[in-house]
Amino acid sequence: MPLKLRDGKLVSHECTDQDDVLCLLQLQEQHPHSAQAVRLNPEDNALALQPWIRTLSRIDVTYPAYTDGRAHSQARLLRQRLGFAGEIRAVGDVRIDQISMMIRCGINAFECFDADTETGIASAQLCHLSALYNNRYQPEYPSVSTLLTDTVFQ
Amino acid sequence: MYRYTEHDRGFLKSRVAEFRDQTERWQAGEIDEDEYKQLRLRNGLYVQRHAPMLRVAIPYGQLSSDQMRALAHVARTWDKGYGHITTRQNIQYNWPEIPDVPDILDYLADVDMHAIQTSGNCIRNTTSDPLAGAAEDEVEDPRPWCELIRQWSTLHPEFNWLPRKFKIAVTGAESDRAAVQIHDIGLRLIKRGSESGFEVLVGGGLGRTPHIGSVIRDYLPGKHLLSYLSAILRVYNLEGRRDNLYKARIKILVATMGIDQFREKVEAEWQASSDTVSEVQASTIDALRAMFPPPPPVPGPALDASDLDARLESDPIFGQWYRVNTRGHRDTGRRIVYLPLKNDERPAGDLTDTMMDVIADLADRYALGELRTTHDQNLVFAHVARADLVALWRELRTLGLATPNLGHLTDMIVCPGLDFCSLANAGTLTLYDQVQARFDDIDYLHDIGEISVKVSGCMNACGHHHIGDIGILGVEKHGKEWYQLTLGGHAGNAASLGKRLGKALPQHEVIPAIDTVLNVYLSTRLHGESFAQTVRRVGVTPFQEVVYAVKVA
Ligand code: HEM
Ligand code: SF4
Repeated sequence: MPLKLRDGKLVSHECTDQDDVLCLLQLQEQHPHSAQAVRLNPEDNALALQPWIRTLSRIDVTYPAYTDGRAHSQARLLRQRLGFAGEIRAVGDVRIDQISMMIRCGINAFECFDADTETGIASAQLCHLSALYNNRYQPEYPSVSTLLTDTVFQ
Repeated sequence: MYRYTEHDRGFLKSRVAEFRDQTERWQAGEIDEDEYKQLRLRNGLYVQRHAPMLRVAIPYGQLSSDQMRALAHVARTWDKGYGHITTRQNIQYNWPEIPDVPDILDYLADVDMHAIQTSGNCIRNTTSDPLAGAAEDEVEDPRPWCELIRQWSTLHPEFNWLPRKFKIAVTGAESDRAAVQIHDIGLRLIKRGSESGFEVLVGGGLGRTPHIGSVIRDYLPGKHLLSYLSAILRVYNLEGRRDNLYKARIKILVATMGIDQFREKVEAEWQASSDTVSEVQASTIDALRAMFPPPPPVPGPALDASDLDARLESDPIFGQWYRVNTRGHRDTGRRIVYLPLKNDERPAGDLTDTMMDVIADLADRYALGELRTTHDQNLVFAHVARADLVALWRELRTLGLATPNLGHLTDMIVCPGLDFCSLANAGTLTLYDQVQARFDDIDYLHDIGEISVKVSGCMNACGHHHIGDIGILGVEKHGKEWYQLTLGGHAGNAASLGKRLGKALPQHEVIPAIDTVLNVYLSTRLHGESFAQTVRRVGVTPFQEVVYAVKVA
């Protein structure tokens, strides 16, 4: 069961959204105006979602491996450039120690390969680091502790 | 020097706590080997041929004497009593135990030091001019900008999982001592009126496909530095190759796309994000500048350097050291002093704990308590009063740190090679010893003049062989060590890559070949011509003909 960031905690998501998750190509070819959820592959151009950004409520970004950081930039583009305020869900090889960086890039839901990892993530301390640098110079990358008290992604 | 605030200290302590927790979870089997590797790499911890290796960051090569003492303590307590200065101005320890590393990092955090992002596919320690703030030819001190980049890039959430490692170098002087053309991003400080800005280069690098960086922007106002770096990194993060380790550096992306198309993409990304990305505030950079004040004027009595002048007249050995190992300072009452770490007593760049302590004391007494590391693996005292030079020279001599070989043949760069590195084809340190032994006549070295010899044990090019006047690359053939020589490489303002001299040579023919190359130079050079100039004028052929003549016949 995927986890969602809510009120500063990662909570299991009751799956009300059994949506059809389309891939970018399907979206581009079929143009369904009612599309709710879409999945970006790492090589997809996140900005191509522009025409649907107001109707989409969920965008999945994928991690074929936790060492592949492309989805970090995709999430930033969705939040920053397209102003997307809905759910950005990390799917794939999602690991506990990477969650805080993902959150800082704008990801607010997580769906792991296995249930154990999800349980681990749900009980992990989200924010080890007491202070950070980049959010001083680039406030668009807030620290996790700021985000946890903030309602931006909820 | 940059002074840590409570904010910095709090950050560093929590980072150490995080790594301790990760190490404990790995020991408990909760984190697998592969994942722990990635986590430890981001804290400077490698596992090498014999043991783990810890690479501690020396941001832009700047150290206080107290930090040097802490490095000595680490060498003594957790290592075998020495450390190794690297070509990226950092220090490496070859023998720590993994479970000790959180304690080492905790200890270092007390003196405001860390090992964050000294390895892994992320933004590495930013390097710079070791003469920053002292050099006569400086346009602007690069260190405040380096510190800004250090802070911005530390645990940057978006750029922690790049296709490959990413290195940035900054120079603020007319003469480039930071090798900005062989970095993923090279920055040259420029002044336009009262505004500071940068010429920005991208896509340089050595390794198996060496490239000289290309200019992506000839002028970038300083306030846009971070947004522009972000734009380059975002394009690279999204489009750099991830399918092939050897094609993953930004230099390959730039070369494949062409610099013009790459520039278009970066500029488009930069423009589009300009309304959401913040500028560097003037107050921010001014506050950083205030942490790097010019050295105070030399006090009255110290100005009297008549002893120095007399000594220069009368003592040729001192004169030689003065000419070769010291440089002019912008304050005429001071001089810059190099401490070469290359001689026949120890491997290149190595420092024992006792040496580190002694050097720290010398820095306190003669150099305002600070020192720098260079990408040639030497040390620098940047601010020495002229009147103290004789006394300092005497002390350096007894320590074996006054060999007048700076920039000369025996001031070589060598990677660790077979002795420490699991990727090595060649015993580079043996070759280093052979060169030190064969060319120990200092007058001969001075007759040859400035020349750089750079040795790498494999094509990863940690020893920068591509940019040596004489480059030496270890290759393996039929299970034996061979060496490929190149001539005419150069690192400074107009960087160039060396050209192959010919077929690889077996180990026992390398020293004779160097000998031959030097003889050809001595008989070919025009009056006052350096080795580099001669090679540029005549090409490699005359050298090739003689080195390989015997073999052909
Ligand atoms: C001891 C074990 C070491 C290993 C296994 C190692 C491995 C590597 C590898 C694989 C690369 C190529 C990376 C790439 O092109 O993407 C590389 C590059 C480099 N290494 Fe090392 N290295 C070691 C030690 C050192 C040391 C001691 C130094 C400094 C003296 C050093 C300095 C460098 C530098 C400056 C580069 C970058 C060259 C470039 O611009 O591409 N390395 N290293
Ligand atoms: S050049 Fe090769 S042999 Fe030398 S340290 Fe680098 S990886 Fe090892």
